[in-house]
Amino acid sequence: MTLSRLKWAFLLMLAALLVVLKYARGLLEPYGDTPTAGILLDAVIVVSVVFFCGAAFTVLGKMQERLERRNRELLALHDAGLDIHSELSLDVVLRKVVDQACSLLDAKYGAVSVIDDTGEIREFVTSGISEEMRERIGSPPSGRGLLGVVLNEGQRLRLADFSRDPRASGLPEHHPPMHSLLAVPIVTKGPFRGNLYLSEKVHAHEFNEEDEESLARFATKAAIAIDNAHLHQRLRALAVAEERVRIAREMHDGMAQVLAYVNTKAQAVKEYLHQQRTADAEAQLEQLAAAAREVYVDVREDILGLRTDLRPGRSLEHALREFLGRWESQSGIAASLRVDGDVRLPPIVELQLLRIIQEALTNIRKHSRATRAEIEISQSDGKCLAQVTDDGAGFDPSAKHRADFPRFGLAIMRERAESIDGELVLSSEPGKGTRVRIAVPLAPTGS
Amino acid sequence: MHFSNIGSWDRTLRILLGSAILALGWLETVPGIWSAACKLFGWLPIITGALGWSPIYAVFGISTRRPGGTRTRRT
Repeated sequence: MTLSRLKWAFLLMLAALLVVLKYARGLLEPYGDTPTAGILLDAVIVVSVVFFCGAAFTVLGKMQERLERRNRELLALHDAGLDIHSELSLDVVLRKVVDQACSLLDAKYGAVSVIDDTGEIREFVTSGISEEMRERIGSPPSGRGLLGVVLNEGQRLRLADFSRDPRASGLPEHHPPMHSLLAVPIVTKGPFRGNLYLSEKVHAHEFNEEDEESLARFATKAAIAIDNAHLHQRLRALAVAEERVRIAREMHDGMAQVLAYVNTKAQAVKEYLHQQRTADAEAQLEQLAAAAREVYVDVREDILGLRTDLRPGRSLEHALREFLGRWESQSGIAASLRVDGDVRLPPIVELQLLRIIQEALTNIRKHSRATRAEIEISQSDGKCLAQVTDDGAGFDPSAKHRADFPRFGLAIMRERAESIDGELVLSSEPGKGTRVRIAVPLAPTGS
Repeated sequence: MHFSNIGSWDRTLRILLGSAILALGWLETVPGIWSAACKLFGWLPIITGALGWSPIYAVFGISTRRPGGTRTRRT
């Protein structure tokens, strides 16, 4: 009942009170002003007031009940939303959805069916049924009988005793007794197709119309949560695929340059040996061995970097601290990390930022001769700022080539920064260390 | 939204009782002012029985509508 209807109801009740009083006065008029007539009139007024108060209590009580129910529903939806953020697995999300639906509508048993392309139940996630009970029941339902009505026709179903319905195919042996049923379809925009079922309402014989509406609303919200879980799964798969392509390209490019270097050196050694210049040949072989050692260290570090991943629920800071712990022991360079505030970025951006910082640290180990490296992560003006500095030898960034051995780390870092709409600035001077700054927008720009 | 708080046996009893009180009033079986009182208050159980809702029950959170017809109190 809305507030405007309540206003009209109260006005009607006041009018009814006046009619009752008029009727009472009419009946008691022949008895004049006797004390009994006065008492009877007072009693009529008291009874009318009790009626009025009772009606007000009932209506306000029902309104409060409805508000409390909505509140519980919102809390359940809020919990479901939190679960999406903490758990990216669709299975976990489905379990939470069915558990919360049971709690919301005081149902003893609940289930979510996931339907495949052929229209059969592919997965049946239950609540209120123990593992032992599930094993005794046997295989999950295939979608015949009453479950098929919701599956195939996409309709809601509310029954006081579904065993009496002619469409029911009966419960399997060892199945707990169930009578009342409430089922609604979960209509998503994504590939998920499924239904939500509840059975055995606690403290009542059956589910009522309000329960049905409430579950339908919950199913709509659950559909959004399930769609989100699907999108997260796809996003993760895309991020992994993109990273694999990038690693493959880096390996190919890096290996091509290393092999070209090895080939050049091998040719030089051959030429020197041909000219009987063994000392020069030995020098070239020494450079080749040094390059091999460097590649070996690079590969070890790359593996360390790739093993540091951003699993769901693990922050960039946590992953970086873990990486730095191992990097310090491998490189012998002291490293520190400072993170200002709670920096939250999309998973792809966090992964790229992690890889850029790892590459910067690799460069510090290989070229800087530094004793200390510092990483700072902060946010300002809608951007996440990451800075990697060292106290090493530094270099002249305008110089085209800094060594004989091929280096392409900076190009990869720039490419990674651009892929997340970020900007990478490198500043260094000989003898004054090096600083790499990456600025990434906190909100995606849509590219 | 269900407003009723009176069970079926309770409703029947109220309607029968109300009819009896009204009959006492209309037939003037009771003397003088008491027949007027019967005509006034006989409607009370009839109206509550017909509506299936009692204001006293509503105020005190009582319902006889629960399965089994037992009188229960909502918490």
